[in-house]
Amino acid sequence: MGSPQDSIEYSARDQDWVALIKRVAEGDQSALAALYDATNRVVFGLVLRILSDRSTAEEVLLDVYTQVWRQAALYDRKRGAPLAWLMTIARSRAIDRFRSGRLDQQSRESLDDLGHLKSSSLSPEENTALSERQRLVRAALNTLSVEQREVIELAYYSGLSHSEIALRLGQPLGTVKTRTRLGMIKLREALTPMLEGKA
Amino acid sequence: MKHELKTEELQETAAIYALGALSQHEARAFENHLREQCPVCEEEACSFSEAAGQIGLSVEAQSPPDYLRDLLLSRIEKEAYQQSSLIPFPEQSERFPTTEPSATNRRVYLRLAIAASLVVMAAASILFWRQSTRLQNELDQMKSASSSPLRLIKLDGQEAAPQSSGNIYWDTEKNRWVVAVTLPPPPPGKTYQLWFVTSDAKISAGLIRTDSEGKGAIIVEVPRQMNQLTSAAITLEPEGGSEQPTMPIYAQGKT
Repeated sequence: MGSPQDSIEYSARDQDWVALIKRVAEGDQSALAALYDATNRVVFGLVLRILSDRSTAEEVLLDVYTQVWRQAALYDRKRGAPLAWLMTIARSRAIDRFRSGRLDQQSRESLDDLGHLKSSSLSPEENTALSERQRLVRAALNTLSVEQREVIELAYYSGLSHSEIALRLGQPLGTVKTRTRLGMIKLREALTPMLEGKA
Repeated sequence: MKHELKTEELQETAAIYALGALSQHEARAFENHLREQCPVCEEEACSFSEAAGQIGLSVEAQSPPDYLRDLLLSRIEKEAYQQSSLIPFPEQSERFPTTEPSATNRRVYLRLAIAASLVVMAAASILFWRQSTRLQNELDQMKSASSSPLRLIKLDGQEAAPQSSGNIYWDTEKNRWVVAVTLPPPPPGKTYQLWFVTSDAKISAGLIRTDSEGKGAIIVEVPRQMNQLTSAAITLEPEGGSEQPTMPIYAQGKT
């Protein structure tokens, strides 16, 4: 799925995101507002998927963009694509919050039950590059076997360690490791046009 | 020990590391190994991490409530204000710059705005948002206190300024409005004023200053002895405000 043309396009669009983050780093509040407008639904989708509680997810969403505001100057282009940076902040904040609340959240729904949350499509003003990326990542994940995808998504969305995943799935640790490795290799390959675009 | 070859074991560790799913002990050991500059492992860890960083983009988008945007902007506004609080106060008259403020002008503007905000209106105590370290606290408290029901009053632009908009979050327990609006730039010498509209009176709720993007916010205490509130209205008034509203209404919302 990756022509060189794709890479060039992703690269050009990443430049726009990088420019926006640079303006945020300079204290430009309108740049943060623009970044929020372009990305809040995807970030909220991720945070909600991890926490499955709306009001906690709302607090975490505010924390994510506040952290972006404070740490935009630390963003380093060489260490990752701008959207991945944002999503990584969102994931860590959400997982931290999830872990801190885990004790009183023993009755949390299992991850399998979370598919029915009401979703909303991206609004027209949202960057089309974003919805293209979403499509590409979904397509990439679809190249994985069900089992590979299961272990990778469990690790990503629940923050469980590989041995906890093995326990939860009732599978030997070695099996979980192998599925993770093979799945990640496929994913990396399928995402090549996007990842090369960042170079 | 540096690796010469990509082994399955090495790839496994790098892949699980990229997903953050190694145990703490294993992750520390792998990071120590990376610090020893093993190009094979570094390459694997980096490329897997980049791929892992994209997984979150596959989620279904979900719409957060609109007021979170206002909360976020007021939160960073407060931080921007705190960062600029060491800039000395300029010896100038209380005139607001009419041109697009530059970074420095913006700070001057901020200071003037703070001075202007010290005006206390008869019916309500007002905090201009740029002054307000309280605004964020209030919003935070209102947000977190589940016992404190928030009612939303949506302000719609009227014929005089159809593109105007705004939200009033009414904390019915503390009887307080947090007002966030977007209005067209007022002409020189004019200012926006917010009104409590009751069945028999219009009572000033305070002046609203807007920034270069037309955004403004205030916290207003709603007088308890007032008759039934029917709506909130915003008009354009001479600098300093008026005792009674000058028509037309720029934005309005029913309570």
